[in-house]
Amino acid sequence: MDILRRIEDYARACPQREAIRCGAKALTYEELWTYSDALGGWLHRYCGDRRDPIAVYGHKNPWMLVCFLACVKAGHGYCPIDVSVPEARVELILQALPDGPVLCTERLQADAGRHEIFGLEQLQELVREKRSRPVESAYTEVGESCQASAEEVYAELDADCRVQGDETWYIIFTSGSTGTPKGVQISADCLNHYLDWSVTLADSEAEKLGKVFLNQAPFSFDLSVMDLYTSLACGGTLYCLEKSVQSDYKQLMQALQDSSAAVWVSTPSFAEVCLSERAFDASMMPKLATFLFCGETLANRTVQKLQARFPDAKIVNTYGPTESTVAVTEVLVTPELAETVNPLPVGRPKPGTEIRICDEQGAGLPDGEKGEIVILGDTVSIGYYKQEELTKKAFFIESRKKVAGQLGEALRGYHTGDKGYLKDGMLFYCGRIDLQIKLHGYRIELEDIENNIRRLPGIEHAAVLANERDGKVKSLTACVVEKELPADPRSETKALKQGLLAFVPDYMVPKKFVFLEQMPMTANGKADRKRLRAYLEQGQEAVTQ
Amino acid sequence: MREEVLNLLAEICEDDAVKEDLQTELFESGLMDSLGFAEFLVELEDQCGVVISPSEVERKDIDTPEKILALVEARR
Repeated sequence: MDILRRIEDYARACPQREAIRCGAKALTYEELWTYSDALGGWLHRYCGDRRDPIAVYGHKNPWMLVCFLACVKAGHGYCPIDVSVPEARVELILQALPDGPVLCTERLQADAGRHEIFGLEQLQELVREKRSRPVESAYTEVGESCQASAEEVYAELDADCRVQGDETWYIIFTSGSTGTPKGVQISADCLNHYLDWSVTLADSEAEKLGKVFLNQAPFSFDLSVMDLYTSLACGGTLYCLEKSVQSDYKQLMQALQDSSAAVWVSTPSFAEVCLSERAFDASMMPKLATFLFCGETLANRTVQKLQARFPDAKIVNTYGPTESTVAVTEVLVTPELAETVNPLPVGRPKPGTEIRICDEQGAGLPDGEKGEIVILGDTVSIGYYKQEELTKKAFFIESRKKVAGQLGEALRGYHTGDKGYLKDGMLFYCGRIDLQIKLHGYRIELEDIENNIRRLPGIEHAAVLANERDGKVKSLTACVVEKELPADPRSETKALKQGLLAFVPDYMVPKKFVFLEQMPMTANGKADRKRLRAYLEQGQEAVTQ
Repeated sequence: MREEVLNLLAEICEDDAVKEDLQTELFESGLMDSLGFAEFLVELEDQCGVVISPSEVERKDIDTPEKILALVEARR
């Protein structure tokens, strides 16, 4: 698929159709296309021949999308940063990117260093200026068709300039174990291969044409790629739920009802939040035909509740790391499957993807045996942005010999660090091998939190543990050693949480802080997580007894 | 009933402090979030048979254990 060409086709065929809506703000396909053309033309002139990635900061304003497309049309990958990312982290990301413009649809508080900031009003002004000339000339001459004016605007940015092939389309920064986020680069080819498959999930592409897709995830979380680009590929309307709407049930339910959404894309956690509201069912969202889940373990209980409330909707579970473009496996969860298989499988690989289960030495394991999930195929990232060491550790290239009648090829592979097994081609996910976890769909390196806790005053040592219930991480506990035990642990906990919020997003702040006199250590000098776990559990037992 | 509700709250907040200090600020302190509250309501219905719809209440009405107890009491 050529996603830009698709969007262009929709902009011509159905210019007035809404491409994206967030609250009262919306943009049609024509607006999206022409505005991004104008902004892309300006970017191209501003940046010259450099094709460096560009940061786009904001929340769910429809202009975010204008900025994304403007970047890729002008030959730049974009790096989405949501307002929920704390200042210190935004600064780390901006420092990792080359100097250049930062396109903002919300006010950026962080220190942008040598980057030049462009706010929403400036961006809109740039677009107006750029478009005024050809549009005016066409509209003043009676009899000139609008088509001609559009052609003129379209023609200005050369299609050859666009991001293509192996070039980076977007960079999404994820939690890194050193405390510094790492940027996953997804190429145009990766995205297009992914979309060839994502438009077929649950129903054929034709069934999705022009439908409303629900967006829950912020754009800096790659789950949003599933709704955003699948919607654009199907000429659909992306209906965005802002953070403030999601945290207020009344507004949330009203928004869901108003959305007319046909395709639901979210983390399972978000669906669980909605399920606690009784009115959330098929009579409230009569057009809802498909639930697409990704980002964390989907519980059988969640599926069964959804099936009871939305008896005609299809529920699809998917799995994949950011490093392989959102998702690579799918399974339709039928009532029979939800009844008989617990935990649920995450599915079979998409065309163009191969899944392998490997032992610690990297050798393939037979069906049914647990090991590391390794992904090979046409959606595997080209690596971490300017992080060769990290890239070499996690990614590899496998050459395939020439088979009769076919050319030899090189496949990119990625070691996910996820544990799992295959059974008759069906993949089952069993948690992490290392210290990375998923909490409410967010991917978190525990060491990232630990390194940031150590930046706080008075902290000597810190270890963060993930608390699981029903095989799913529910919360985090930080075990910390300070110079001396705090006199008032409760107020110290509050102070630490507050301090940590300056460095990490709120979902990375541990729920509970436990103060220790000494950190138990393993023989090789690391915090002994097993002993900490035992301490926490025995402590809890002692309290309940 | 009171004890059941507090135990449930402590289980979801993963902190017995909510049983001891009924004025604990639940959301600001990070002990509870919207997902935790959703879970609380589901369990409340399962365990105590009290039905509260999340859209009926505003955050300021449920931000301490004491307010939650009063709300549950009123709905019995």
